[in-house]
Amino acid sequence: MSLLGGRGGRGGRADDWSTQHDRARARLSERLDGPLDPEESHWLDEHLETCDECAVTAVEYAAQRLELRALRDRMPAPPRDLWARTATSIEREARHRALQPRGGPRRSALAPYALLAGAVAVAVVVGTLTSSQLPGIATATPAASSEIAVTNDTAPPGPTPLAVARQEVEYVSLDRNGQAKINTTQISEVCPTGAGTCATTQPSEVVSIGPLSSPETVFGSGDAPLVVLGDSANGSSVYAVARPDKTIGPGSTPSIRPTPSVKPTPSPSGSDTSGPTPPASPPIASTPPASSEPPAGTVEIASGLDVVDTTAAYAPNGSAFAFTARPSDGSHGPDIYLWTVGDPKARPITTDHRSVFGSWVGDVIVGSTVVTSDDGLTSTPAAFVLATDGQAAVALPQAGLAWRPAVDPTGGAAVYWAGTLEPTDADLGWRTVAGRLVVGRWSAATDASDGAAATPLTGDQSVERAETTIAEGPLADWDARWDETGTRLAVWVADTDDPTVGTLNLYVVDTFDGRIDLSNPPLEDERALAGFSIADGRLAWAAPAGSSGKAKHVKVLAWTNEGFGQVESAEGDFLLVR
Amino acid sequence: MVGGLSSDLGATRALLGGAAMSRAWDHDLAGLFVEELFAKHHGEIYAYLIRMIRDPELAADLTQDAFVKAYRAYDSLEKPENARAWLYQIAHRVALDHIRRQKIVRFLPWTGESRGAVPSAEHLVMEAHLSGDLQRALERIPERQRAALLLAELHDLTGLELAAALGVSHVAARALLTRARESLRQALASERLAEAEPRYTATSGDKQ
Repeated sequence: MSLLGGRGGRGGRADDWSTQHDRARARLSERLDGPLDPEESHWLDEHLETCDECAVTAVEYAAQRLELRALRDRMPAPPRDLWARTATSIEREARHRALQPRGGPRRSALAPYALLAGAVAVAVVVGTLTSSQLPGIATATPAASSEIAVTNDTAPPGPTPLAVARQEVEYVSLDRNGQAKINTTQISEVCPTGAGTCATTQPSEVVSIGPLSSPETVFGSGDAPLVVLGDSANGSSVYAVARPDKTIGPGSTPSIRPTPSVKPTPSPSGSDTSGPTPPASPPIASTPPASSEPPAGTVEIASGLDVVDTTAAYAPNGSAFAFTARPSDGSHGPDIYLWTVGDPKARPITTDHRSVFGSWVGDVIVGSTVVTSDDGLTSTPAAFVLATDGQAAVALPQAGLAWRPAVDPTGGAAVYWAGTLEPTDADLGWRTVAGRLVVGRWSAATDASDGAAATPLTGDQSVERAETTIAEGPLADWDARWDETGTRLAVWVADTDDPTVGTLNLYVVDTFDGRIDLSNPPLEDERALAGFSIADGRLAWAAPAGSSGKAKHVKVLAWTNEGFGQVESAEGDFLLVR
Repeated sequence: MVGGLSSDLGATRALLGGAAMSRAWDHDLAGLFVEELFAKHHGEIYAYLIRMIRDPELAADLTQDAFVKAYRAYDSLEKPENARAWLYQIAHRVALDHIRRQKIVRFLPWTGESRGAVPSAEHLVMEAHLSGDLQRALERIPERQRAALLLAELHDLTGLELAAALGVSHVAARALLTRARESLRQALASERLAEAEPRYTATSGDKQ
């Protein structure tokens, strides 16, 4: 924090001088905490007699201890409602736990890891594309598409399952009539990597949310409304769908809220040999804009916009949702939009028409914009930070060339495009040209003591930021997301020919030195549809039809300190909620 | 000093002023345990967090967060007699995570490139809660060092407890404390020097 750095220190001391005095200071400090061993004690006494400065230090250490201890008399009083708030959170947590059948022994077996692996387990939903965005992908929809079964904790026939901290995965299933349901599945055991398949169970909760027309991606955060990005006749539509009261328990009747009648979208004549075609497949034009017949509790929070990129997200605290969009009429380029939960509409929080959302860090948005050279020939990205009121945009001089930076939750590293951009003529947007998708140091400062983070980059960015290449450009699209601890990083890179499908990798961040091991990812080049969900302890994605000889299905990779394991769902038409 | 599970829940509930409502976790050992831990230790945990974070509201949020995490991580507590240090360990992580997240905000006022010229809310809150050169000096030292000092001098964690709370080895904890005392000494000297001079030095960047 201080720009002074070591001003209080003395400059230019010789090594022997400093060694002696460092030793004295260490002993002085230790003496405050307990008796020194006799030899060191004797040495210290002798040193203090000959070193005035150290004698002064000794007095200052003693004095500052007294000052510190005096702060005890001014212990601040916690707010009165603190227990009520905490109890409510624990209550919520306990209810989630109650949903999950668990055996005592399994939990205690987890004990040494629970502090790490169990520290954060938040329901996150993953979004994928429906088959309407995936022409050519045969989607075999089972009769009960809502009952996606994720292999887990019935008695496994073969391999010993790996117990993991309880995880929730949510996904939205669509039936033939366009009725959507939120499915929640609890995962507590996975099949260790390479051990084959374990048994399956049903989702523990199925909640109807009414009809959704052409949803593409669904985002969730705790109990906040689902944000559904979908297609409509006039461009993208963005809805907030309130979560109905959950119906709890496997096999129970889903709670059906009264919903406006909606014309069931007829299945197109089944030329698809693999089974009934899911409801979202018909041509967009045949589907009325969903805003005309929204499910109960649904608010259209943006219209007349085209959503840009796959990167959009709820704030970590679930209070607001950020995404990038531009007017459907092509009047100008993209801005970052923010919807605050409870508001009627999302609003743009940038106005330069060339800004895109990168990620949240706490309640702050990190975005990037395009800087075009004076001769107009080169466009390069520049990152910035934006308070969510849209008033305090601040350039990040240390951020350098960084497009769509996905900053880890600790603010120490980010995945971003380091390279040049070019305008897309029709799209009023930008695409990557020459450069790399990298993971690099974000804020060099690891201690509050230095102001280095504010220093603009001067040298070679790739060196100063210790950038490591994830993928060489140009890239059609990508999505990088960190788990809540900042120790796992999932990166999805779109295929060039069909950017709705790509490859997903999971990387581990070394908690000791913060390095990211790209060479040996626990999940390597997995085929995945756009949109995945990562939370502390698990990664969930949708496997495209055709991978592993199956139709579209959800896969989950979960981990503990003991290892990694996977479960997968039955096949079906659904959207992972991210 | 160290809390065991010698529970008198009636007294605990009375202390917390909670109504005897039926809750999902009434029969949950972890829930009961955390409730008792809260009754005994929430004051000191809050005090620790407010000194680390310097924002009463955030400190309250983080205190809540720490106890929820304690509930989740109940299984990781091997010996109930270590509960207090374990709780500090959780609170310490919560604090450090928060500080790391906030760093990205904190350097904003220094760039001088603010288009909206609105100082970050966090910055204003921080300023409002500064008091005295000791507080300012504490703020200037690295947060791990600050944590070590606070835990040792204000919260009476010693030896292995301190190491556990900081999540480091015994030797590393002692070294951290040594560095912390020296950092604080220098920061205090510099603060007191700055008081005698026009305020353009140490905190000028923070004052805009």
